[in-house]
Amino acid sequence: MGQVLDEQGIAVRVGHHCARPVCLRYGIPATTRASFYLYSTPAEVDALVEGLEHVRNFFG
Amino acid sequence: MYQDVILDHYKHPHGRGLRDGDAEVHHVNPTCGDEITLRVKYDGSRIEDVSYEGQGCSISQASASVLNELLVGKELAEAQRIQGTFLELMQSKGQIEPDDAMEEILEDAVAFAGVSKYPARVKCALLSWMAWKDATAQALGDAERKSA
Repeated sequence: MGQVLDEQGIAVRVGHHCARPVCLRYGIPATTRASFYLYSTPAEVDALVEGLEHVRNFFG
Repeated sequence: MYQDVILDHYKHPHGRGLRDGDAEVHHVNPTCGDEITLRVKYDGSRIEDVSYEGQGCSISQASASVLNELLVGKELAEAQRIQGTFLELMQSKGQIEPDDAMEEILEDAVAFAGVSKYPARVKCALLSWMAWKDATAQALGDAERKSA
């Protein structure tokens, strides 16, 4: 998932995030995390949403 | 990197599910969050079954499916040759373009050639193969101890 987003210029973090106990606690194998901050723009949020649509079609 | 062959194995895994085995191992790849539980069943030196259950990225799960397809029914020596060739391909950093001879040995596993260009993903592709190697050492080690 991270790789497919990366190919569209979208950077996210994937996996256990150095916190495997938390993943085990919630019973999830891994997560993908998008981080936002003051400099993030609405256009970037739109790009992420489009990117996620693409991911869904790719693996679906 | 994502060949159709890889996505096909991911969506329709071969031989998935845990069955009777001589040894069981559980391996984890924290970078992606891939996990696999793998069992091997030997009939002397012939691989009778490799069964597995796992979750994680498409590369790791597809690789386990390819492993099952390639190794079940093989003699250990032949399986080790296949494993060695796959390891060499995955460590090639994209420098090896699989030729006909390699394709004859690796069959669907040549589809992972592109993965070797992504250092972060090589472990995903190798997870099940390392688990198989570990389980085999345990299974055959146990058999040796019992016969001694």
